[in-house]
Amino acid sequence: MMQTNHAAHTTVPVLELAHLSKSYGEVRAVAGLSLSLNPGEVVALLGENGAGKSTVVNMITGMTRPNSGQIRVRGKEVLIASPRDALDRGIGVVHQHYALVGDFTVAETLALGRAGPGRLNRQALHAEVRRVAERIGMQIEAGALIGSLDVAGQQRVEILKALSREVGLLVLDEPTAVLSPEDVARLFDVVRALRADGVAILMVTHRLADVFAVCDRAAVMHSGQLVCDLPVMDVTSEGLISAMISGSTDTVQESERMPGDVMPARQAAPANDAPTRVSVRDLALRRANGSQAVQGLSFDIRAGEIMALAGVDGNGQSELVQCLAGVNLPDGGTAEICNCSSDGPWSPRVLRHAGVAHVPDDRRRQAIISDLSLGANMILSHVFSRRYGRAMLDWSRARDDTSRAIDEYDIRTTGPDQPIGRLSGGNQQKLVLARELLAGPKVILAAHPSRGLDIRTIGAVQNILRQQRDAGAAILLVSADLDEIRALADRVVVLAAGGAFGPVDMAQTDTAQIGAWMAGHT
Amino acid sequence: MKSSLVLPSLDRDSRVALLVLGIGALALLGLIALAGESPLRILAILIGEGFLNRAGIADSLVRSIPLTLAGLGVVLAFRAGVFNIGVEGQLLIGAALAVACAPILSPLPSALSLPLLLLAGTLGGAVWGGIAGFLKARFGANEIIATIMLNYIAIQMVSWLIRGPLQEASGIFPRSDKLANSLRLPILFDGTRLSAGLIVAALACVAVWFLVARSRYGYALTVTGKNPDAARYGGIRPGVIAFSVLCLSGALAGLAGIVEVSGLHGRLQEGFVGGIGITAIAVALLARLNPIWVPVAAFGFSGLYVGSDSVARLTEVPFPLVHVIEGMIVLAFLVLQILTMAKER
Ligand SMILES: Nc1ncnc2c1ncn2[C@@H]1O[C@H](COP(=O)(O)OP(=O)(O)OP(=O)(O)O)[C@@H](O)[C@H]1O
Ligand SMILES: [Mg+2]
Repeated sequence: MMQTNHAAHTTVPVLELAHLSKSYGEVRAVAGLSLSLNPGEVVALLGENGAGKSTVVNMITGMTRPNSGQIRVRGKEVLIASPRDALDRGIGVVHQHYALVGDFTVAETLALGRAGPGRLNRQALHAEVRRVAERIGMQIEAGALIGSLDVAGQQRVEILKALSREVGLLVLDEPTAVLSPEDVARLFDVVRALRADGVAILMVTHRLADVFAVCDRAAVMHSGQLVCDLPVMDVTSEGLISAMISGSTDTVQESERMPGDVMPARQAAPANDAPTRVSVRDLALRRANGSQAVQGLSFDIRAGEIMALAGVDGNGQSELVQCLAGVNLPDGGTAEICNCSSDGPWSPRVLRHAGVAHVPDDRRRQAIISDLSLGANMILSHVFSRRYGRAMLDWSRARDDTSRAIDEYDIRTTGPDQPIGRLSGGNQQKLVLARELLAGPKVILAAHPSRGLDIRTIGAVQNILRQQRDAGAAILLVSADLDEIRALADRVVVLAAGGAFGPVDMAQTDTAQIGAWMAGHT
Repeated sequence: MKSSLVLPSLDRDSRVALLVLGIGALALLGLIALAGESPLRILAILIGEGFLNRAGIADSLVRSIPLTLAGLGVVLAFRAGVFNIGVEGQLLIGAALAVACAPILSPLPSALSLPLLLLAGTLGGAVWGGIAGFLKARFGANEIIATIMLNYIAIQMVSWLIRGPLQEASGIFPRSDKLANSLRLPILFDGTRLSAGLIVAALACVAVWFLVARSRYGYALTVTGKNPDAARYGGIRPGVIAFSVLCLSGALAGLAGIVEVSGLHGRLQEGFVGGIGITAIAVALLARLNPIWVPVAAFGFSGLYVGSDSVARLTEVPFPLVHVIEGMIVLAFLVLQILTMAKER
């Protein structure tokens, strides 16, 4: 284990964790972790899925209590009993999943949970929003409805909420996972402004680019332990990756790499006579709140082809995937998938029967039932196929499938009977992927399939998608990550500001062009 | 894996349930002391008369039959997140339909007529539940309001039936004729009122457990109740689930109704439901919506009912203890549910 000895700060650390441990039953989520953050320091917390990052965040922010070890805030040992307690001590947090009320305005959201009885003083609230936003150079409209904001906007509200009290430490759990490149840049401006104000920031992330862009120090966790804590100028991405994967900063053993690390060559472009699996004509879609999300969208996806759907979240990607999965009907135009048409019977059941697999973007809302076992979650997508029997469920087969998925995808769990809600975010995602790809789907709708996954798993997932493609699946890949799109897609469609650009062959475009489309420029 | 769906285990929820019961019991003892009686003496009567002598146990078992059947129905509906408050109406309509069919059935041999009678009761309850289910699935009506309204309609309907078309031949009291002996569930033990309804209830428990734990339909119910969005994503149609589960839930309530008539009272009469509807909900909640625990919870409640009857007879406690207990349990679980919901935010 390496320690920092680079700076002899005279200041008291904002936060000091000493030998912190947390177990859930048999699972040692965090084991003897020590870490300190100085004022104005941005520390990246890295690690594979299930390494214990969120557990550290939860202990710092009062969501769970450590089994042993101490937490010191500005040199004083404290017991953080609840999230409110954490805020009182100057620790603000933006969790990966936001808990916002759609019908409230930004300013009202800020008042939520701390306003006393009586009338709200809206003017004062708006003034406060503007003051905080200005301090950190954030653009936000105090009167905007939460429901009308995109993910990036909602994240800004969460940050504002955390900063509306005097905080010395801001904790961000995977803040960049959901953002477009432009919004990431904006978030980093805010981070830099806070740093200049002397706020310490702990940022959980899977993206090495984030580390080198804004962080001062990189802390890497492996199996609950801190295995590396170094100034960013002293680390390389290779070193960080090997620390994450193997727990030491030595070079990675070749055998420890996952197959996804090596990108196989594209075997053959899809033949022009490959059958069309997905066909969308003049499609119009509405958001849940009634506004127009997509209009006049047309494209085809053939068997053995990956079509990327690029664009900043909130421009209709989610609505399109939900529609193609049969959850919603189109507002105009038609969609056809494998002989099913949206003019005929169109439901998740019909489409799943036709061979559609669906990895939704909002995992916790749609794809899992938190307090049911992994095995029970495995069944969800196959309830109406004969895989697990008809009237009576074949639980032992579900269990076998689950155990195999646990091995194949390296899911960190105590076994197929563990409630899925107990797994780390990335490990939940792995089970969802395993389930969706289980039955050899003809069409795969994959919305941000690698969101929340660690580098090694992303490689593996991308590889699996390539295998599925080569096996003849038609894949719609929703992604805001240009690297991922470049690595996987044959063609790309960009949704931005109510319009669609493309589809165009990846060979005939470049990332700059796609980036410009994503920003809404032609 | 099955265990995560139904098998009993002392998870956090059940521990909280036991805690709630403990606190409730303490509060009750306090109330009794306030009423000027010795809590210990009351407790001795309550437990002794309800659970510890032969007559008490037999009486408790008698009461637990309809509670188990109706409680199982509530379990199914609540598991799917469908709040069926209409047990009473479904039970009444089930019993009424079966009694109305009695004249047609009584000439048949008993081996045929009795099952058909029970079937008629089941059907009546299913139809009454199904109406609420249809309103919910088709028009998005709130099932709580729909089932409560249907309760009122059912009460009025039965009240009219036993004064009109179904009234006894002599036309004196507002009640139906006694069922023919061939249509009565046989008494299991001489000297008690315990009928073969006990066997019906036991079979129903096994069937419902099997449905919930092993069948695809039971899985769909559980998923719909826990996460309707995920259910839809998996191809389960929440509307179909809501309709079908209200039919099933009503069917069990209707069965409870006709078993109560055929096994105990022998005829349709006013007030024979006696609060089974509400108690069945308390039973289901106390059983943590787990079919295995339903008969246990039902027997527990029945024993308290029998015991508190004795308490009322023998002492000065000025209130029906069991109603206080029941109210407390329902309230406690509602609070618990709200707390867990708030926590999940
Ligand atoms: N409530 C819980 N009950 C049981 N085990 C838990 C619970 N929360 C987390 N764990 C376990 O603790 C370990 C660490 O989980 P944690 O969520 O901290 O991982 P993480 O580093 O945030 O991973 P990810 O990158 O996937 O989000 C995992 O093995 C997980 O299964
Ligand atoms: Mg996490």
